[in-house]
Amino acid sequence: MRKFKVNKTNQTKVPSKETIEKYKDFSRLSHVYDHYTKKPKVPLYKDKRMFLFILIIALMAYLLAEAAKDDPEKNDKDKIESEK
Amino acid sequence: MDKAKQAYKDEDQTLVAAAKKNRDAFAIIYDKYFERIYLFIFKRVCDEDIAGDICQETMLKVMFNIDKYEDRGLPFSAWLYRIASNEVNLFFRKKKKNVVVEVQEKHLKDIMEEGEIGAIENEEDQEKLLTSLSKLKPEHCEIVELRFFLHYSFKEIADFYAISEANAKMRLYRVLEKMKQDWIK
Repeated sequence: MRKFKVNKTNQTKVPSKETIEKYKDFSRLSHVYDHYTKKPKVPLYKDKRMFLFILIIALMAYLLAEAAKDDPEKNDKDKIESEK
Repeated sequence: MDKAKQAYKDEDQTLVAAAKKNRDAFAIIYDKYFERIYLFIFKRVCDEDIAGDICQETMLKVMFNIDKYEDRGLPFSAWLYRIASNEVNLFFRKKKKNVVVEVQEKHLKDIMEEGEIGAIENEEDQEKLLTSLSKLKPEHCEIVELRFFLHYSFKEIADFYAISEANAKMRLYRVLEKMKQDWIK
């Protein structure tokens, strides 16, 4: 939000050249730009979220495989049905 | 367009082309425009530190988006000022607390005269006008600031918004009309 105030003196305050120079810093800008654009690529597994996601997928695959192994009767039924 | 203006425009286009190919070449644009952009922002925020921060943020946005810049016959500086102004508007939107901006009395009188709002010499009316200015959306207030505080010509306003001069006039007078309506209420 902005609030306006009347300046009765009618004199414009203008920053000096030195003041402006103080804020002028291309190396800092360049550094910030590089920070955003040249991020080192992190391998997927080093990303915490991605690591957890991969772990869950692997675990689910393992559990499904185990469940299929533990239920030979169902496997046989499936075989018979498919033969029919 | 006179030769000097054309030469200036050509120089800008060469600089932009160089900056698109090599980001280090952006340093020349930065050097050339920093002071002008800083002063433009300062006149709107009236604070050296804030102007410095917004100016750096503006230059960063320009650096990121320079590839998207297309020459449409308008000065390159108009594009820069537009980005700077958007940053200023964004700053005021984000700011929860009130930021006090000084306005010269003569500029206020110009608004009152042009918009036929209130009695020019009446201090109460001036205060009332300031309140109604504060209530305007930043993008509406922007055109009033460009015209009356920064003394832009209609041609410059038109370049700034990439619109025709007639549209620039219409846009300004609509805002003044809106202020007048609020005034009557």
